[in-house]
Amino acid sequence: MRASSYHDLASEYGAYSCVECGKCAAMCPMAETAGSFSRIKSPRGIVQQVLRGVSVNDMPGLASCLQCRQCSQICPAGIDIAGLIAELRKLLPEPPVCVCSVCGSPMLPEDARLYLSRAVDSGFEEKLSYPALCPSCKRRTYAKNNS
Amino acid sequence: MANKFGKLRDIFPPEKASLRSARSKPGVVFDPSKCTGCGLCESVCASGGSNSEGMRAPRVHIMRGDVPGTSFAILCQHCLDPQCLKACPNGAISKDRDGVVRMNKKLCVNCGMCIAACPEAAPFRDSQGQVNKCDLCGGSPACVAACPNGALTYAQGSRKLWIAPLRWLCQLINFLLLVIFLVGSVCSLNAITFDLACPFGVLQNVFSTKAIVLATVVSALLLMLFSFIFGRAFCGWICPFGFILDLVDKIIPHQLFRMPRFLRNRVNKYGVAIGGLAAAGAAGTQAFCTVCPIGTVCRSYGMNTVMAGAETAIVPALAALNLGEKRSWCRYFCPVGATLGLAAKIGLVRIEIGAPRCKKFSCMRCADACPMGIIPKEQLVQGLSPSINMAECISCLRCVSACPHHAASIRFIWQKKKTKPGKIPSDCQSSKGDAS
Repeated sequence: MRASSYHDLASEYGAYSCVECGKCAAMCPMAETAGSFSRIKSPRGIVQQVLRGVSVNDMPGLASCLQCRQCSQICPAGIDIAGLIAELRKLLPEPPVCVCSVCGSPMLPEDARLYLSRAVDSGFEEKLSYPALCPSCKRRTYAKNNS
Repeated sequence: MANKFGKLRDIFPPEKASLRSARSKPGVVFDPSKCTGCGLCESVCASGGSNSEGMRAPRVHIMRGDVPGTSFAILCQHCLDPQCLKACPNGAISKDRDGVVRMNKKLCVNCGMCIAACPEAAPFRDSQGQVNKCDLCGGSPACVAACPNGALTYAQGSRKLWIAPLRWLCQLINFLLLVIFLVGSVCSLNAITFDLACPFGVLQNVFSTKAIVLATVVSALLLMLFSFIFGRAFCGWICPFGFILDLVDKIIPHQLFRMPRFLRNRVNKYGVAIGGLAAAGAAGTQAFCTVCPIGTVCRSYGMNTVMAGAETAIVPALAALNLGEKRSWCRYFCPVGATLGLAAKIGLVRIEIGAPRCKKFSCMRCADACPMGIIPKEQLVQGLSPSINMAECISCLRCVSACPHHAASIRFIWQKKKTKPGKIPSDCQSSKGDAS
């Protein structure tokens, strides 16, 4: 069943025309965040894993996609990689997305959250709590604290 | 941990903010008490700002409150140390030479990391998914000109520059008086009509002789009364050893080493105080006074008592601690400061930071300037007003002098509080769950 749904997804989003040029991996903003990015976590890695029939649970790249659609725009073969990743995420038992601690709306993917806490927490002994809020909740709490 | 800032940032390096821009930070200051929530700033910004770019999504949003005075404008503060710049994975955000934080739309991929990194989520995502932020309209913000109530003002910031020279002069005069001219030292000083004595010295005296002499207690209470009225201003403005520490910090402002964690505990000084009193009781003399840096600087470095033996080594040794952290001795060890801090804790003066004009996370100059390190950056960076422990504050007024927006101030205990510290919900890492 998985293989057939993968086949449907791959043909629907044009994954079979991937030529492994790696332009998507070069454009991906999350390339900065992982050491071994290019083969496993990158958009190219995800497309290749789909073609090989790897299970969605073994695709770490799904937890770092920001859905910025840069890969889909640059792809010379016309693959809608971001759309493919969005469909693959639906196959996961639990979406790899952090949710706002107040209103529960989905925010950043987990890897992006880790990268963010590394970038903004540097130098602080206790962890900052505001990155756990979605933008509108954050604005509301900030306004409440300061008006 | 080193952040892996990307290849793109190496190709397009952001301009280093010059010293001048670091001093005069441009920005829009918002006064919540004047805002009526009319939204003119939003509509003017949406119509293109001062550059007349044509219709666009506004870069300023008003969070409207039910009660007048509770509306709030969310807009970019152009931080000194922008979180969005650290978080942007593509290096699209830069702090330019003029102090304005700009977003390079050629590099931006609208991923939204800057929105997540900003404590007030000031970059906005419009209906097309594009992320935009304020660029101050090139120096004349249209929102400021449009605001009918004067709630938004364009400010470069001005500082109270007269405080620092006054403090240095006061410290120098007191250093010359106590160390060079008056040989008796601060420990017990016979001024013309009344006696002044170090309160911790008098406490030791009581413990060692097991007798309370009323005259010395009264002379010690004078300094406690001074601390009750002015806070620990003795430490910041008078103490000769504090003057030496400030000089060391002025000459070598770098952190050369880091003290072990168990030493960096502010409770230590109360431990030193209790230990000193116990030693005085056991030995029958004022044991701590022989190694007290304030006492030794007065006794050994004066004109009449030239370099009294081993005592001269104490001051340089303890001053060297300053290379680990500013005013390490005063922060963690000084029992005299601990005694004065007890009076300052219940005293009349409070330092208050975070009046409505405070720009919190975007500035944090007060936290950088504070020699005692008692202004918590963790609170400021989350947009909260910091709480300041007056037992640790040496009333040097560096924060008041460093604040360009006059948000740090002295408050007497009978005056009304301007700030009310809030709390942002915590547990940021446990937010994983289903998004339904």
